[in-house]
Amino acid sequence: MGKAIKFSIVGIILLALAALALFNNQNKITKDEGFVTNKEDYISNNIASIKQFSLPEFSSTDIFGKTINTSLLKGKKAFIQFIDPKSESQIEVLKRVCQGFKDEESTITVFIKDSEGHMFERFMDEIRFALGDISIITENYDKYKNIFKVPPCCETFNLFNEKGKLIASDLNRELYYEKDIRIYLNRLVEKKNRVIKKKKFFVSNYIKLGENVKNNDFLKPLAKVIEGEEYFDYYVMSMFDNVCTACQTGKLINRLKELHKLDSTYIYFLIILSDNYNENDINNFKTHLKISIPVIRADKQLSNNWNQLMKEFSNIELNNIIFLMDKKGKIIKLMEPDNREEFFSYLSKMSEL
Amino acid sequence: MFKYSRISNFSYMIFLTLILLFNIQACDNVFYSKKNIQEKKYREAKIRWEKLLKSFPLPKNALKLQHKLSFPKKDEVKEGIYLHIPRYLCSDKERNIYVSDTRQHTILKFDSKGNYLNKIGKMGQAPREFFHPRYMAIDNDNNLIVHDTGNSRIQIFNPDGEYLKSFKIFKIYSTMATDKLDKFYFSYMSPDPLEPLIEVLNKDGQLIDSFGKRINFKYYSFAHNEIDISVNNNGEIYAAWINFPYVKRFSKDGKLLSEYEIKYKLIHELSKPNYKQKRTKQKVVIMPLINGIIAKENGFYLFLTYPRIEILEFNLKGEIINIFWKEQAFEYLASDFLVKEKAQEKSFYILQGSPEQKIEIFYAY
Repeated sequence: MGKAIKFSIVGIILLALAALALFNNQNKITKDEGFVTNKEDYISNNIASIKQFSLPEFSSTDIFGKTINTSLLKGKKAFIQFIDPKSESQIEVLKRVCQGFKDEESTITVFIKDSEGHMFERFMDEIRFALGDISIITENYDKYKNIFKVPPCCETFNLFNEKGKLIASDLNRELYYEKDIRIYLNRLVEKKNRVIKKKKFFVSNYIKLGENVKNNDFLKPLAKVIEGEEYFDYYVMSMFDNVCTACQTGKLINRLKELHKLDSTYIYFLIILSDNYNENDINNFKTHLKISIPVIRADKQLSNNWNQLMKEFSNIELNNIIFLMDKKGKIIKLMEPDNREEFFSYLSKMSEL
Repeated sequence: MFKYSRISNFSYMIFLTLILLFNIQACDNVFYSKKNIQEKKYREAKIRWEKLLKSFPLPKNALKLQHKLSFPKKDEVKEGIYLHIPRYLCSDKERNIYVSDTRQHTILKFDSKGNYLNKIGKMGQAPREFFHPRYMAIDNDNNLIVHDTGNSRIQIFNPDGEYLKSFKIFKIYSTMATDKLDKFYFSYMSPDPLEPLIEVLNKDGQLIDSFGKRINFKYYSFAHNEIDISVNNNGEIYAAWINFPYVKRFSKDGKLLSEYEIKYKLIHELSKPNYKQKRTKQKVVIMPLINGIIAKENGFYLFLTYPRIEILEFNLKGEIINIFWKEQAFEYLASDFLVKEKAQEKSFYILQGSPEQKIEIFYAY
């Protein structure tokens, strides 16, 4: 009988352990979910849910004791920002939004990471001019980060429309927070009354096959370039805003150099650098990269057009523009992200003719 | 009460084994739950760190660094003078200290006693603006040279912080140093192991020389030739490999003078996984061994930050003549260092990136 009791007790303990195991299995997650170390990882793991994200249900109290909840924010555009008061650039974002975005149709809510100490005091000083217009929440920072799908590593902002749909977020991008934020906020501030969507630059929307450069708003100034070089049959124009040998640009320049070596008699190669580069930089560019292809700096008009597009999109998207045109200026081949190989093999065949 | 005799011993054992296996898996899931996953990694790393500290005790003659002061000071922090993500240090002829802060996109200047002097630049692309400024150096006229990484350029400022000039760069430079002749030395990341190790530019950014051989492995990666460089008062250039225990000394015209393999047990142990990576295609996280080098006339200093802060002083034969060290918590991270020698006295500036962000001055007695 004693043995039976012992076995029964052991059996009960084992059953309890099995129940515990089952419970833990319900909470099982994949390894990768926990290892969010930077914003890029987070975005790539969560891009689908970020796109579908809408204003979540929440309720909190701001530093003045006012209740802030989802129903209060719905029906207006809601700008929600998570801020580490140590970050000047994050505060800068908020200041600009307060200055440019505030109106009766919008709300600004800020969650502050660290509400104690000098940094918070400094934050309050900086934002004092807008204190009446924003709701500052200092409690349960991590909990709200989770609710608003903010990656554990970083701080972000989200903009929801009147229906609570996410219309802008600095998560929905691949670039650094600080660099891109300026371009983005320009849009946010300047176009505050329109629905804001993240636009992507497609080179084919601005440079159309068969079009003459003289009629192209962006490239019109390049027509002047071929005027003096009409004895060539074709022109390969390449435009770079930023050059580094270990990057994509470096590889493209190497391909152009190879083609230029094959034929420089009836195809004219030209590299155009943005107004980021001065004459000294252009000379250095030629010697550092051992380039015999002519290199010029974009003139004022082309620079204006180029910079305008860079403001609207980003410097990275407006880099590496390469196209082929004939002696009359008609664009006959355009390099796009998905046809690079085809573009260069086309040029290669032309050079061999 | 059921009769235990009905359950055979054999089937009971199978039941027991299954339950145990189930529980082992369950425990694993507990470890990988959202809450605990990072704690587990943290615990493992901490155990590894403690083990290393025990396995590689310091020699008896190692000199403990004595803390003297830290800055920015608390009252300065109140006024908004603080470091956010500080990366590199540099010191001018008047012993002022510059620190680059890649998150604030600015350079902060302090005097040798740690008093705040001024800030240079803010985020942007215009002259006197930065995007992730990193490496700094001082030229012969006491001007500050800044590697403005995100804008792919070098900017030069006079000692008052006024903008003088800039030039664009075309490579991913990973370190920078200057000499008395105002030559700028850079190492750069290259996919080609046959490219030179160091490039020399003049004040206008013109390429005037290049020298040094990269170490080459079957499976070449950028990380294999990540180096730090420093130039001594004689114009000799020292290159220390970050991930391998090598240091090379070059003359001012780029001729190889000495090659050192660092024979220090701790470095040897830490470098093992990095060698594994060079032998196979297997992906192993490269472990930085050496966080910086400072050249002097008769030797050099190497800066180690893991598992403890150690500054190793070497003579020209590559022998360790002094070890300076300081205790640190597991969470402590340092990103750069400076050594100031005045007669027999040595002072060490250590840039702490975590858990606090500050510059600490130490003395060795």
